[in-house]
Amino acid sequence: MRAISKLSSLTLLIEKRGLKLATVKREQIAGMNIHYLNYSLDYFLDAQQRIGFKTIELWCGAPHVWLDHITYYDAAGIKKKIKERGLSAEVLTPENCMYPYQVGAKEPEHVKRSFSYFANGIRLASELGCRYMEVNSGWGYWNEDREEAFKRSADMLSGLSEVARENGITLVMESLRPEESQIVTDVKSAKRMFDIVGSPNFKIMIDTCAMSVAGETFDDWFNTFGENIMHMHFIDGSPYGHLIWGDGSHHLGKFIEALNKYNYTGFLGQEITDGRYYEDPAKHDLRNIRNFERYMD
Amino acid sequence: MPRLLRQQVAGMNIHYIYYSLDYFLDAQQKAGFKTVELVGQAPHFLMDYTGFQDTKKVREKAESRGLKIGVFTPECAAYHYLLCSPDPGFHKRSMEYFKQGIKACAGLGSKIMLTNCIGGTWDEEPGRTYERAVKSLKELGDAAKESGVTVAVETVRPEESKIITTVGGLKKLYDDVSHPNVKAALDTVAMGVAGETPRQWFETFGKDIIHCHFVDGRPYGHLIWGDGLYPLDRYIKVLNDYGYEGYLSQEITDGRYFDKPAEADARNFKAFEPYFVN
Repeated sequence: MRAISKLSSLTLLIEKRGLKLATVKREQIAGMNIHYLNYSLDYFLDAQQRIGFKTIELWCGAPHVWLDHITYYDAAGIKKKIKERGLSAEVLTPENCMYPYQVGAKEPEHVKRSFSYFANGIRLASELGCRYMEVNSGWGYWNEDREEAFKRSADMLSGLSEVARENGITLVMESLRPEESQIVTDVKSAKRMFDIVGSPNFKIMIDTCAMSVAGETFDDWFNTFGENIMHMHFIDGSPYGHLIWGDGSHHLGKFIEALNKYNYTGFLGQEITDGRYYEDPAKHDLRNIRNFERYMD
Repeated sequence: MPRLLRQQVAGMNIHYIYYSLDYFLDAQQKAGFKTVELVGQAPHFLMDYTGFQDTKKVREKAESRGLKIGVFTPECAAYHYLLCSPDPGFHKRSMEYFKQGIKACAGLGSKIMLTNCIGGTWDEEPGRTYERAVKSLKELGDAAKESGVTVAVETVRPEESKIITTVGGLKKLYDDVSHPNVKAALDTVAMGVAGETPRQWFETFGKDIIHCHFVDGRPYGHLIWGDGLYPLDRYIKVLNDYGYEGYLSQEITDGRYFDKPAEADARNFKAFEPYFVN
């Protein structure tokens, strides 16, 4: 009895204040393939369809998508496979932490290769019909002046923004953890890069892991960038780890509330990277989407 | 008393990804290394399936610091170049990459190129991955012979591959490949994870173990000696018992060392100091 009356008074409160329930749309949740690295592209796409994803953020890494500084392979074939399963690839993410390329490269040959790699990524994104390509600032060398690395990164991102413009793609830059980079690791350095690059094809994305590790909140990011936040890697963490929702320490409902507060309707890439999921990624993806479904109408 | 030659212990560059090649080489010299195993990874040595950077310059840089490049390892676990990839395109480019690696190896003045059998997908029948491994290694063996190089194959952890994760698995592969330029490499982490000992490995392969990734582990982790739980003196004694005179490469991969790799290497090299006879 008591519980019921409490519940009805809560409903009343919600109605009175015009509060909305935290809500997310299925199309916003973008499945990713990093943790499927032991499985084929077909296996990944079949799993996404079966589990109930509508959108994917396609990571370009072995054994799924071949992208390098010379070329890339089979855009038409990949596009067909995605479409046949009723999926839509909205974001392309070149592997940009492990592979031999980085935006902050220093040596001329490394700069050249890295630029060609990301430019090929933009072309592939365009061929696949994606809206966005994910980038980061790169990292530079630990024993060099931070400004030098920042400048190189800004130069490359400016050049890539131009390639993106030519190909109708918008770059979305995420911040990195301080263990990974000394260039863009928080909202402040992201803002500086955003202002310096200053291109309509260069926008911002939130990575909830990097954001939390930096001790920042959605308020910090939205108050700084507003509508220029066009994408997210929206995952659980403690705060480290790129985890399935439920395995970290964040509250999914509160995170979604924050998105609603700022009217964010963009994609939420499920960038799951923890090794514990590699053995049976589909099992964990199912668990993940079930948790999102609690917040779907 | 177990004994080693100073030049047997080889430094590696994996944990120097946030530093330049020059910084790595300086740190090796300073720590006391005489030998390095160079990994073909950015930003230290750029290569792909069409070629590689000037080996002469890199070799000169090493030699000017009193270092010999004893072994060359094209990055073979983290990049898109994977020996056992089932996709025909991925596999073809990976094979070309490893053949470039063999040429780079010779150019750097090394006689050994290390690789493994990673890349088979888990929705493929493991037997087919295995067949591809045998065929690929025979082909690399021929290319290696032309360049005067021997390919050393290591085992990996079961998280990394469905095949060639145990000493028995590698022995079968070794017999099936049966190529004079394809030999065995002992990786002490994969060994420990598989529940094996160095003695088992030498009993199985004897002189056909031509290289070791000889690092501390718990058994997971590729750690500085002292940070794991392996008995360094007992393991060196096994090497002595079987007359192993090859390299002991310090394949340090744990993220905890990325910030200050030179400090870690100095500490690591010191752990070997009591065993040196030269």
